[in-house]
Amino acid sequence: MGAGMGGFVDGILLHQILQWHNMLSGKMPPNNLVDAKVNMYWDGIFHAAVWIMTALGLRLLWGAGAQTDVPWSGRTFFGGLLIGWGLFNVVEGTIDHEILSLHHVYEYTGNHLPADLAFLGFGVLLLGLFVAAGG
Amino acid sequence: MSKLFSLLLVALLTGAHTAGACTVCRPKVQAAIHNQHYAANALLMLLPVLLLIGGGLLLYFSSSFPSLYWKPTLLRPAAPTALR
Repeated sequence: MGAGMGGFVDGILLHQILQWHNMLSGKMPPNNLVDAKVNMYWDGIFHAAVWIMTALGLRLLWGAGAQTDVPWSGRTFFGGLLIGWGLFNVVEGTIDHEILSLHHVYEYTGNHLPADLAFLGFGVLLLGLFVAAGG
Repeated sequence: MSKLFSLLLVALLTGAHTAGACTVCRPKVQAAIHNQHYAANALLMLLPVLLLIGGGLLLYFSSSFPSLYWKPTLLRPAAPTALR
């Protein structure tokens, strides 16, 4: 669920409000209407996948609630959200930005690294917070 | 009067330049999406999400996970059977 919530923050804030981080912008920068609409389509596919991931997370949470060996506390839930969001940024940032170069966080510059590293760094920070809070 | 105004507005909107542009660009958009790279694009783009879903399911259904992670002091008492 944490990964899904992180994915929605990414999709809503970065993709739609700021108009950065479009899914296929590394191959097809949204510099004209056709390319922007193609990126919009792939952003929609990404959002659909994130919705499925969040729904699955809800289902797993529902299942965990029925288990007696799972501590049911806000601390556990918040920790799960932190680790999920952190993992989302680290996995997506590493695979899509650095390995595949499908897109970058901020495409409209010659140097993509600062924004990409900030995205990755935020993920690592969330994972660090999770560890610092005692897991 | 308001109906007439609404009809006039719709007529103006449908005749606007932007609406015309969409009918022109839509085939180009469809062609740029549904080309020979569609499956590869979809797979590569969804790879991180698929990995996260797979990792989450693996963790959830791994029998060793609770004993590795959960602290025994935080365990809840079993719920009464009648309520299940």
